[in-house]
Amino acid sequence: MNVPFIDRIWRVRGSLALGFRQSPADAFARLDQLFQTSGTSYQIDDDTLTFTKKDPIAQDKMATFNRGTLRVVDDTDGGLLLYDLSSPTLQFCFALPFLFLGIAWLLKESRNPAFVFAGIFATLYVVGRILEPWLIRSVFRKNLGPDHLPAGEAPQV
Amino acid sequence: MDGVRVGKRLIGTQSPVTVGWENIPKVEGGPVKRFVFTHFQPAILIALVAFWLYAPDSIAKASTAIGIGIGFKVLLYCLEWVNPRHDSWRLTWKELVTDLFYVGISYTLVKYAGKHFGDDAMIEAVQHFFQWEKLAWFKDMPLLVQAFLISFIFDFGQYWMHRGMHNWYPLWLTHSVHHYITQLNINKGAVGNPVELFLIGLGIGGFFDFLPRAVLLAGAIGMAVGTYQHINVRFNTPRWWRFLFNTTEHHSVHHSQDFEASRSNYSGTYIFIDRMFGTCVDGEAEVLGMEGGRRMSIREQMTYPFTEAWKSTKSAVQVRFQPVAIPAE
Repeated sequence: MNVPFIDRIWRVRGSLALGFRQSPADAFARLDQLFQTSGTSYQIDDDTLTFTKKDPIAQDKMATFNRGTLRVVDDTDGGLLLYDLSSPTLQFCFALPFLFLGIAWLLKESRNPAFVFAGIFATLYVVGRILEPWLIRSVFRKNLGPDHLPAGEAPQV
Repeated sequence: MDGVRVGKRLIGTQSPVTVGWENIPKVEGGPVKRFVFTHFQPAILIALVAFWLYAPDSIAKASTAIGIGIGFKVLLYCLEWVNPRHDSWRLTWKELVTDLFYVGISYTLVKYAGKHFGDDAMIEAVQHFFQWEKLAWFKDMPLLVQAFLISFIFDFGQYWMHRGMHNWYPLWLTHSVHHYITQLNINKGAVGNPVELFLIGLGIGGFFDFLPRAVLLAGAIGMAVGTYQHINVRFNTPRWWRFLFNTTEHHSVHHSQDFEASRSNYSGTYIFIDRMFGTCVDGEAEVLGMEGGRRMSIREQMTYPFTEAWKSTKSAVQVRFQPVAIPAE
């Protein structure tokens, strides 16, 4: 779904400077463990990796993002990873305060718990929208950084 | 996998299960940390029992119980952070959101259904019919005995409801959904199909409304013991505690991917009920879930009991009315 502005609710786009040149194939090989989990399927076309994750388990490091594309391009300062990820969980969490406000409206005699949960999910959404992009970025950085080069291979700047 | 023989059963042939207390890892760290994680559970239980026994009526109210419950949960979140049992059970943002969704549904819609169509409504009708005031002799027993009896009777009922869920297909359909979780954290008790949450909530608690203090005390005992079923904290639980009470270790065996292991440790609070009926397995498991650990989405959790019931009914009807043709010789 391509809805500008509104899709920021559940879509995370970003870029990560790799610090040195690496071919898309090399970069994707280093990220391979993220896609070797149950329910994950992916496809690599030249410099672009497209993936989907169906019901990823709790232990999957990318569990929050069920769909997305990763691109590795050349930059003047070295390689650059561009990513565009979609999260149904962010979308779900965004909708939950409205659901619980609806429940509060339905259960007129005992509406306080529903209001409390609406508040909890509104807070959780804000936390998740900041935390999850930060976490996935650090996962990419850890896997693609110079520390993770195979032994004996020097980075090409 | 060879598995370990427990009574007549082989535990851990399909998925790893550690059997026997001597094989379970201890809390690692300095003397203070080991002290805290050895005595935390009994200390909290004693403190809560003392509070509900001696607190004046002005503060011993249901609203105080709710406050204590929330504070206790926050404290346990901190313990999960500081001293997790397994790293693979660490709480993530996504798990927190989905877990709290189920908690929210049980605090609102399921509770509402219980109040109007479930045990609250039935209890009111039964109380009206039998004049339960005649049970006033119950009031003359010491408060702690009243509370223990209330929580024991409740847990005894839950034991058989839970065991029934694991043995009778229609009930299993509602409960199976809860067994797809692959980690234990403190909110995982609420994860499941709302029909199951409604059924498991059916109990006798409301019968004792005429004993408010005993009910609050029974609730506190249930909380100070039952909460540890689903928690990711490593404790050096005292021997007497794990003999009497359900623990994370017991409940992780119950959630194991191993079929035989999952048919054990049914009680919520008093594991000695399982010992009485021969269903207790002392041990722990890290690898949890069903169907090789497949995750079930919230949507599937909501519809699974109904879609599976439809599939099974359809195939049963087909077998009944369209028997396989036997070729003529």
